[in-house]
Amino acid sequence: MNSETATVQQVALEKDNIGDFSFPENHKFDAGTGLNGDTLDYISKVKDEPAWVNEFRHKALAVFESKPMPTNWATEDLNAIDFDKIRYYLSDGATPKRSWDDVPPEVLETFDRLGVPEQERAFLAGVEAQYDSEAAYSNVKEALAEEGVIFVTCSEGLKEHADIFRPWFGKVIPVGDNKFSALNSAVMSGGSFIYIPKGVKVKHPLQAYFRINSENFGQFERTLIIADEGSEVMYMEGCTAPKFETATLHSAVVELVAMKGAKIQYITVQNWSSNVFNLVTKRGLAHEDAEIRWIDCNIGSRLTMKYPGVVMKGERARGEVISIALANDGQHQDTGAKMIHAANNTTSNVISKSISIGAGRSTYRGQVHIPKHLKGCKNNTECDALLINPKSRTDTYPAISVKGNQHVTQHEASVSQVSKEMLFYMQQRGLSETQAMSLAVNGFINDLVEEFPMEYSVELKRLIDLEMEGSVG
Amino acid sequence: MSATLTSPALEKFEALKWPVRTVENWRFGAWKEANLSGVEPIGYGTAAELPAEIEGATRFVFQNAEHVSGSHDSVTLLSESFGPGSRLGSPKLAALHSAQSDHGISITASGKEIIEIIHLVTGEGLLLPSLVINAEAGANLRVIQRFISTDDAAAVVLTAVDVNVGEKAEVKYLVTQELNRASKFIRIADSCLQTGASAKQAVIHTGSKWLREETYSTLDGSDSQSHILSVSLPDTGQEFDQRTFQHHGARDTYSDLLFKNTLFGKGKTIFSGLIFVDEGAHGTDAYQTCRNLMMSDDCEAHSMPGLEINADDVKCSHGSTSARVSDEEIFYLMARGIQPKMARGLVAQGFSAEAVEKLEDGTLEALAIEVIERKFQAVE
Repeated sequence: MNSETATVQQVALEKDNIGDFSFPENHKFDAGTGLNGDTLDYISKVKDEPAWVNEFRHKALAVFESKPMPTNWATEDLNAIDFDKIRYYLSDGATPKRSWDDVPPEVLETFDRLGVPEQERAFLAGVEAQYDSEAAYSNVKEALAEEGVIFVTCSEGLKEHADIFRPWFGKVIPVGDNKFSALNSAVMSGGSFIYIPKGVKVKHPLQAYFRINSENFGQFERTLIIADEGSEVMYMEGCTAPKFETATLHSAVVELVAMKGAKIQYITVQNWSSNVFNLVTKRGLAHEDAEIRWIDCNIGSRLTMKYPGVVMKGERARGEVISIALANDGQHQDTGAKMIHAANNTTSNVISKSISIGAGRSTYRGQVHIPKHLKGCKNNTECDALLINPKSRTDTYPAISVKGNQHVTQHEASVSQVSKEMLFYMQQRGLSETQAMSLAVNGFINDLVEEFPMEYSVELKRLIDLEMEGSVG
Repeated sequence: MSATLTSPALEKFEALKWPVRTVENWRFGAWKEANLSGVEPIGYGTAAELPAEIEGATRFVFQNAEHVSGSHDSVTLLSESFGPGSRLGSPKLAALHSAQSDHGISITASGKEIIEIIHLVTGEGLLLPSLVINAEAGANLRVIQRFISTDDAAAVVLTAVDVNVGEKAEVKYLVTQELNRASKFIRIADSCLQTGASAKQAVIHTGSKWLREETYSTLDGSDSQSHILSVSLPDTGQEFDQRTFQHHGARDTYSDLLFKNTLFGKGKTIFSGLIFVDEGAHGTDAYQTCRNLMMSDDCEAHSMPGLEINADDVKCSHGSTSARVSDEEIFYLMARGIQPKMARGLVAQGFSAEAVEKLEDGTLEALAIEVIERKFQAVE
């Protein structure tokens, strides 16, 4: 794509959506389209990886190839992905920049479009903004470094912090967990590695923005966060992507490890453009008294399949998933949660709210597993769906397995629409139908939005208003 | 068998595959149990003591496949299958029924009737009963179907039922499965409701070592109402696998599903249900509840309550819970001089009774409670 067409596209898209943008591509390294052993070797060579990583990639590729598409339970739309037409690795070869001044101007422009306010940037403790597969910008505040916090790219993590990285890498989500975790393991590039030392409570949220910028380019970031005993961290990621004519694949793997008494919050606002397949595996391992919370908001993409999970391995561990999904025309948000109770007195909570607009489809898929000979485990699951138009669709497929009589689980789901009376009432007071609908939708998810940090909840509200435009009347 | 005489049903059966693990409708299920290859047809049955008569009911008795008593103007005896379909994972079993079922009854009524069917099952082998219920417009029909073992042999009962409820007709249908602990029970149940029709179907499962039940209820006419009720009481060595589908195909329809499982010993239940609302089926009101009462530390309950909604003007909800009898309830009863064990039993029986009461029919409820109580006495 040349810069002229890019500009034209920019102008055209500006009107429609926040987060839709593009700019010239300039890649020093390109693994080409299609996937085979050579692709993996190329990535390993460019990234100068140790031999064990290359071996890991090859094993993962074999697993990926041996696994069928999970269409026995998932949507047939997955078959629309043509793995041979995807570019698995692109990089401009830039090393992570140290300050905002060094960041290329077009990238800065992108951040403007993402709506990261100036004050907020200054306030951010650390920014890991991903330009294609490598971090184009990385800034860890000195204070964090002094406390011993490691916040680097995943590639750096596996090379320079192998002693901490390797024992947990691929342990929470094994390569063979599913077809897409295997794919990620084979072609992973980018993503973050974070280590919080014992007792350190990171005050400001750590942030990363992921974007897809090249046509047919799948982004396969890999993130590993380890919170050592008694530490606390909040990590936020926002995903946006420019629009392209052909389908794009994003397949990430995120592993969290919360040691004894640690707390991790992982916040995602996903707003990929509506041709992206977003197939993500996210799971956390919570040790004794640890807490892992996934706060997840899915607004974009063509198909999202994402079921953040928590394995509660130590006594009194706690897992939580709070999820908001918004499916507009042509979108399918297939999200949910997995709660695996593997120790006594573990508790988990899942709250999921979805909104289907136009011909959009939202799906909740959940799994709660409480095996034998445990006691005192509790799970609460609530999923509520809101349908806006006659063609909107919603599905719910939970699976709850309980063994023994020492536990309490409850699951509840409801489906409703915005009542005519409510809309009528608001219109009587001078709101347009769209405004009224938007207000009702924001009210529906309000209690969950409050769980997001302030700047995210403002952005979220704005995104929802945008999505609601033209949905009624 | 010469090629020219091969029945299409048998050909279909042979072409289909036995259930495998990867079929979503068999998730958590014992799919290997459904493989009936090598099971021989059952032989002749023997007479056994019959349960007490039900007042006002016409009783039909089958000893294995043989009809031994009962006649009624509204009933015809069947000598072949009505050809059930399976939409919930067992087309092979449905095809087996189509190809080989050789007995059963068909009820076609327009008035008020009570029909009771007793299947006495004796010996090892495969038994394939059929039941067709046609409630014509305005009919008021009550049907009781009981499966009772007369010995301890390992029988396999594969039964299919087709319930058609005409305009403004009402059907109440109770099934009690009281087979011995060596037998398998497979039931494929379809029902279709026309405008203004009402159906209340209840099953009580106390027996069999493994059961698979696929209940598909279609609301085809507006203002129809479907209640699907179940009480399962599995104990050590029993696994009950129930799949349901509430299909809302017309406007302003209502369905309510309530499954009450009380699990003892190493008992295991699997519940998978789906509320499916067609595009345009506005005004749908659908509920689905599966509650598991865990009476031991070794029991196991899997619940998969699902929704697929394609219309926006709907009210749908589902819920699933798993828990034991609460300490407060036990304390309350103990404070009134009742021993803890008995208190637990009382609470559990009350828990099961809640589903039965939704039948709103004294005769059917009394029978259901009797079957439930017998199981409680056996396990306590």
